[in-house]
Amino acid sequence: MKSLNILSEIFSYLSYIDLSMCAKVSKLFNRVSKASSTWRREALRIATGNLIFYGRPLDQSGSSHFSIGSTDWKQNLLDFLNSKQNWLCIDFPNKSKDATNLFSEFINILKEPDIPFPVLRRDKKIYSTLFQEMLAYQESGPSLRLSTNALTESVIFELFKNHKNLEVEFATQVEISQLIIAKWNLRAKSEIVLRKMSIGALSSKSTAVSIDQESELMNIYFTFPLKNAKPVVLKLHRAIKCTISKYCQIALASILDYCDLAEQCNQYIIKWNAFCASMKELNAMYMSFNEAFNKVFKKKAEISPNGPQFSIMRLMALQWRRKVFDKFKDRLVEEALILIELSREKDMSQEFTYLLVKIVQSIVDMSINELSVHFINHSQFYSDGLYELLHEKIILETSKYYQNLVNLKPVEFLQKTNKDFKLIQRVFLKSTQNEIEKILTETKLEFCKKVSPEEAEKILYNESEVYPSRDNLEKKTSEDCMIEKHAHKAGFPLDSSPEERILYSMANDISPLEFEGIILNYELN
Amino acid sequence: MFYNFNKIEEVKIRLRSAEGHICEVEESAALMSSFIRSMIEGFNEVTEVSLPNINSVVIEKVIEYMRHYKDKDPPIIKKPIISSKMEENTSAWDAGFIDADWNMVVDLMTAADYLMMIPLRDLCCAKMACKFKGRSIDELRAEYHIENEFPSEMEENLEFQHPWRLE
Repeated sequence: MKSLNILSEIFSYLSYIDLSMCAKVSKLFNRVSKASSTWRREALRIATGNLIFYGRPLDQSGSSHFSIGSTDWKQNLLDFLNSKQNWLCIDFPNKSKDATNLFSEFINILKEPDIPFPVLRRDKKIYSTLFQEMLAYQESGPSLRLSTNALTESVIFELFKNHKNLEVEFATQVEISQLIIAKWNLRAKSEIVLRKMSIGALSSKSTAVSIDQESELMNIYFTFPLKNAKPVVLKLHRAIKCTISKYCQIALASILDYCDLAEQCNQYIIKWNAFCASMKELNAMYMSFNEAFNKVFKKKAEISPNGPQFSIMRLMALQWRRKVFDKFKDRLVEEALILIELSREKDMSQEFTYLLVKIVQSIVDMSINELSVHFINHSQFYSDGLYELLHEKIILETSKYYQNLVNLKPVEFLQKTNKDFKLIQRVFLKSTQNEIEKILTETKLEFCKKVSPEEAEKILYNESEVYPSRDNLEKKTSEDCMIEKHAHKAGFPLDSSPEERILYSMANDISPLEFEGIILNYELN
Repeated sequence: MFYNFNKIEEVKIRLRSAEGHICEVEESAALMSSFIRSMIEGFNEVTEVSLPNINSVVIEKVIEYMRHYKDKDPPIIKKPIISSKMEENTSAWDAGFIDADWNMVVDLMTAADYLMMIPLRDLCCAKMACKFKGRSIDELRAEYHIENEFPSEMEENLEFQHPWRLE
């Protein structure tokens, strides 16, 4: 064994702090430390811990099936831990002690959330994932973990007890612009966009600002370190957002660390479930922050109708979508299509069916929002995200597949279509099932032209008493009416306005131009 | 008829050290070393293995370890180690076993590597890692007689890449 190997073996027993000390000792030590697998292990240990997934600990130690990726684990770990700086500049009552405690509690919850069993959840019949439940019941009860988060809850409550003082802190238009950006999660980096944003905010408060002042504001904005920003609401928002974003980077890296596509998808699902559980806990802990933010926003920058409320949950979901989902979604769709094709070629094991169901659900999670979640089981549900793409692809594939079945014998045809449709019903949303049922009916009708009348009858009346027809499927079912009734009670219409759709969308970023359009439109009316 | 199994003499493997001394060890214990195992499995009825680069003191130490873990698995040391004291990282027996001077640990590690005894090698590595744990840069440099090789601007850069400090 070469001495370099021995050294790297020895270094693997060190923690990141000790390793960073060694890296500074000599050039040899530095070289060995750079290549050390310790950074990866430490990043995972600090950020993702050992998840207990549905009662089963998730083993991340085995390294044989990992690809040696180009991920800079040291940088990831560094970024994640450095996000503490943002917490330290918040004026907590008990300054740095509170900040340190809050930060470590925050990363602890990201690392080891209590992932609830599906059976323990409230409405498992209607909503199949934790995230959908959270969207549907925003004022949900306390998190499952009761005792440990008492500290954060009290500190945050203390901080935002007096909501009146908070608005006073928003003295400049820059700060109000920042508030708007924070609330809407706008990615407003370009100067033009920002100018428009400021005008939007200014005109709504009807204060005239000259062009000079405006460009001055712009300069301040770009050179303005947030450390010096006064409003505590903004500081906390920035701290949370930064930590979440760095966590998401590590989560994505750890998913991409696996070679196999199916395993990557499996890991994505586990990480997403864990993230949702963290989201639920953190949202409950930071409830008073959510309230304070919304209150301040209403007083200072309320410019549009019926936008979604600010919440930690929304912030976290959007960060996940940007940092992880957007970079991984193509693989999810690819794997879903592979699995469907596999099931059509041969019998698929339970394990793969489960994976398929979970993949589709996680795509659905990222295609809905607070409005559309209520219509998820509606036969005319229209999502604004990736699910729509999957929906179209599946329909295309299915109609091709059914066309090929037409040449089979009647018994085989019936067997294959039945089996396939059962899988479709298990995996996809009602709206997709409906479309596929239409295709199936047409295929069946076409098929019946070739066989004897007895056989045709058997095929068409298979297991159901109603003669299938396209017209029947176009109609609303009684379930649809129930869903509409429920949603109406809660105040959610199926056909929301285009503005609302843009504002609520979690799947797409609001482009600042669209946002400005909405503001101006609202002010004209 | 009464037959006492314990009376059967177990096959002994003779290990020849660098000095030419012979140390005997029971075959079942010696199999812990993948090197010796492959020798025995490769050439039937091998009873003597020559280890020209390991001295007899080290071989005795290795045999002590082999005998202790003949019938059980050595404990796995968790990464990262939690303390610079071996007793807190692993079992009391292991900690006592490895509590030797630096040269002995190095020799033991080389021997463990040659004999392909991964648990023993890990134990040695962990023991050495203890020496690095919780030490400042200057302490480490002083201990291993390393001079500062980094130009000052590079040192700043290093500081930037590794901002963590011992607490």
